[in-house]
Amino acid sequence: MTDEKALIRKILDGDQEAFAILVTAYEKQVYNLCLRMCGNQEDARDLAQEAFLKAWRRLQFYQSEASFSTWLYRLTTNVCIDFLRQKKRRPTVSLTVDGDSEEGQELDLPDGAPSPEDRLLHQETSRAVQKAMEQLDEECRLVLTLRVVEDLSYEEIARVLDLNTGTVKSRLARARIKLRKILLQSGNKLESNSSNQPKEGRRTRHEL
Amino acid sequence: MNCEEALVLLSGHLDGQNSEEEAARLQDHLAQCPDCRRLMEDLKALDAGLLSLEEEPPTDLCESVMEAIRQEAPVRKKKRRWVWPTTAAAAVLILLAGAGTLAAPKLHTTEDAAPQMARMMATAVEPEMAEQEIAEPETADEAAEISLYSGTAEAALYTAAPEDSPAQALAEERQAPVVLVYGALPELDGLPCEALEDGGLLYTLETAESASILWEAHPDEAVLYLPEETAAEVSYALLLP
Ligand SMILES: [Zn+2]
Repeated sequence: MTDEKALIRKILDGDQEAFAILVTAYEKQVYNLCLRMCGNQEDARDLAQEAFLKAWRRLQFYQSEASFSTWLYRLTTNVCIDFLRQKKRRPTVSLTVDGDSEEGQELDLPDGAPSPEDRLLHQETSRAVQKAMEQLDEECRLVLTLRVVEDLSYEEIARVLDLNTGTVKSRLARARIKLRKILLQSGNKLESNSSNQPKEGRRTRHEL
Repeated sequence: MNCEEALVLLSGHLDGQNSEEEAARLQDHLAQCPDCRRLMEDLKALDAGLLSLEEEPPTDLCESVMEAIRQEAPVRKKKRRWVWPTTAAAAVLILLAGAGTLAAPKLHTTEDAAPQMARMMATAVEPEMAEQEIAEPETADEAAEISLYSGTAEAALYTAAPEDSPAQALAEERQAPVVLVYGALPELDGLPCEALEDGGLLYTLETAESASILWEAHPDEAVLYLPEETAAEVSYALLLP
């Protein structure tokens, strides 16, 4: 986006107020990524602010051949990961350098998840999804958020996370299955708008 | 196709990332596998639920970011930033004064250089020096004007411009960011290091961004100097004797 490049040039040439245009353009994406990663509005706000502040401090290192949004997502991701690690105070596997190690890994297939019909705790789907997301590991949460909420392509996600697209693809499948499993285990029935067929009767095991 | 493979394609289908061939194979599988049909509906619902969580950012987010930026960089001409952490202020003033031979040519270009130098040295030990980020005046006039209303060490520092400091000189010479640190930071352990003539130690940091990251991590123990043009792929940390 050439306008954006020109804008960044202008900021680097000393027009610091022009940075507000970048913030306005990306605050929704950055905030929502932070929100999904940390799970509450207060921290999300702080993290989004920190991400933009870091972007400001490092703007001269932004390589213009890379997309600015990719650069900003990467930076925001790192801010969120740092935050979550500090919160947990225990080391976790790096999200950005583990490359293709999971390539051959088997997907965590849905196994005998309790049939939703067994316990029909009828909650509003989005609320339930939010709670389930909080229980999902951060790696899966991150990739799902980048794909579904931020609407990045596999290629963009691959660039943000330093993965190849094959890994992104399998990780997304895994993340979705995990999220579904958490939801079903917590007794939530998934309400699908698109499905108007009556659900089949009580299932036995999910034969996969 | 088994259900495991179908699962990846289901996910790809939701993302609109399947090839035609993959889409056809998935359709075949779905036609004969009620479990995967059901799974697909569940996953669709999940995506929709996830998307419904999207929120508008706080209305004052942008303004608070900009406010933080203004506090950090009240003046920012050129690309150079010069950050002035409180705890290190006195030390650097003395350092600048000590580097009088370096600073002198520049000082002589302004009319009242000598009084300013004197003022600078006199105020070097004043405790109330504020945290500042200082850009250079473009002209001697501008410098004089600034010194009129501030009349303190800060004004003197405008004329004893940061580019006269050893760190700035190094940044220009190597076309790389240099972070001046006040003490051996743990991050520097084991990094390649060269000894400078004046007894300083110059650590080579992995990327051009590293100096900035180090500065962010230790804002009170470091000052970041940026060159006019960054060309190098590394950056440096300077530890003065
Ligand atoms: Zn199947």
